[in-house]
Amino acid sequence: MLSVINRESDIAAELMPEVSNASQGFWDGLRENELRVQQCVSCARYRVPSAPLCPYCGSYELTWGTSAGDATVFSWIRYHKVYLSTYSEIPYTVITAELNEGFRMYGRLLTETGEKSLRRPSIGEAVHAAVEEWSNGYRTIAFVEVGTSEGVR
Amino acid sequence: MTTATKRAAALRGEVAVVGVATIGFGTYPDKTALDLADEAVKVALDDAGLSRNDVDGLVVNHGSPRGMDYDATARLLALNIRFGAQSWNHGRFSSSVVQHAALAIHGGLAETVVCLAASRNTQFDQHGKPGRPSYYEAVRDAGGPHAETPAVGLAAPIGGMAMSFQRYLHRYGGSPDKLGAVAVAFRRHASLNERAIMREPITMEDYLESRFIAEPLRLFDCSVVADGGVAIVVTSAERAKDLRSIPVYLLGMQGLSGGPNQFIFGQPGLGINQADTFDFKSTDFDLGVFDMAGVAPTDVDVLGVFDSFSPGALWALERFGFCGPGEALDFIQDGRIELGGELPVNTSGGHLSESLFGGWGQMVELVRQVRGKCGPRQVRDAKLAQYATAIGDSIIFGADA
Repeated sequence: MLSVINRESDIAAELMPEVSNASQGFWDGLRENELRVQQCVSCARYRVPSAPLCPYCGSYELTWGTSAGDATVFSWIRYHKVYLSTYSEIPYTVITAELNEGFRMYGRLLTETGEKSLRRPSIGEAVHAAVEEWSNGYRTIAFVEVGTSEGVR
Repeated sequence: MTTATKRAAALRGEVAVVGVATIGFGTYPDKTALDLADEAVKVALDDAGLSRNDVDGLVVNHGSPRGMDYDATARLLALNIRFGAQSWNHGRFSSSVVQHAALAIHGGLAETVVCLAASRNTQFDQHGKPGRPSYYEAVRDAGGPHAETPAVGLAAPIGGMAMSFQRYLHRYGGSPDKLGAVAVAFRRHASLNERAIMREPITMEDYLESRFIAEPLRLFDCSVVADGGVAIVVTSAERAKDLRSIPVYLLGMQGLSGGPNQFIFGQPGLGINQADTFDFKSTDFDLGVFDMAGVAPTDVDVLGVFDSFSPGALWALERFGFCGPGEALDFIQDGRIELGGELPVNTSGGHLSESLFGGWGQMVELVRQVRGKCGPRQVRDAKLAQYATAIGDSIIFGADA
């Protein structure tokens, strides 16, 4: 189960992606505080985004797996310019998280207390998935620092 | 040789560019995209010594709302065509449009085709902002065309590019500061180009002092958005012989790549999105353009790359074997990619300084290089000019079929 961080502000609805039958399972999972991702029955690999067949082995047999949420930073960037009204407090950091189950997702980097992280992370450092619930009811994924070995940069 | 390779070899040199036009670049609130298209078509046809009656094909890159769709263009610009086509309204399709036209001509479906990109880009909100008409692509179920994921703050095309470049630095080491050599080189080239938007030369100090936009990318790593019109007229090599311009032959081509292990920003193996991480080295599968043209990277006199952001130049260089994987940051130093250097790149200033225009400015510049018409930007004895992008598409233009 992922922890839920409650936001006091709305997320602009125009930021939310289309939801299809394919991706519904992911959004349902977030509602239940879980990170659920399509998983191939034949080769057991997880895949993001949802797709009709496994891009790794070609099988059409799929299920939904639940990630424990443990991840490492695969890459990161830091916005110093505002593009989206909801994310107008710059700078802010977005990472590519590589979940231990072997798939990657994008999310903002947060401190252990759920605030915007002001650090520049190290690639390879540990993070953990969390659910953000916005005041207008939408939920998104974010990644929380897990205490670094190299300290603050 | 595979059968596909044999067919490609048969296409070599069969199609030529006979007319080009670059209208712009700038901000033109008093013009419509149609006005810009009309000017581009007129100038390119004049260049070829052709009239609108000679045109029987039209392939358009920028459709509405920033440009005009092929149907309105043909109707309103009095082009009676039997081969009309239009690509996705994205910059990455420029060479595809020209290739498409070449294939139509070679296949006998058209004789003389206008390839067109004309658009009013400055009228819209910036890339990545919800006010831009193309923003709906960013909220696709599976993510945007540049990995955009606005819900989590991964905004605008620069997001995917910066994410790739950061990973590239981790993968191969090297300082992001070295990237500045791209911006400095292309700005120097633009200072010699009357059509370029950004013409004031910059130094490495200027680059390093420029603010971060999406760290590690800075302001000078970003391209300049503008209005303009570019037309490239192609016809059969046979027909080209009778026309007044110096024909520039399409000697080699290859298309856009795609798939789970490909991302437009970064070379394969970098691992962006869900791509596998592996050591990338170009194989025959990636280098058909050289095979078709019968040349090697060392034969190329001048290069045009898709530099929506600076790292695009690095990955084009590596993907096409101008240097090895991970070597591009060093390759671009010491003026190697500047006019006068070993391999001049984006001699009209590229997207960074001439204008963000889907690679069209670069392609026309390459044609002009082969024709010997670049004035202060002319690369001496330019006979082979290549357009190549990090996504894998490429055209080799040459003086001799």
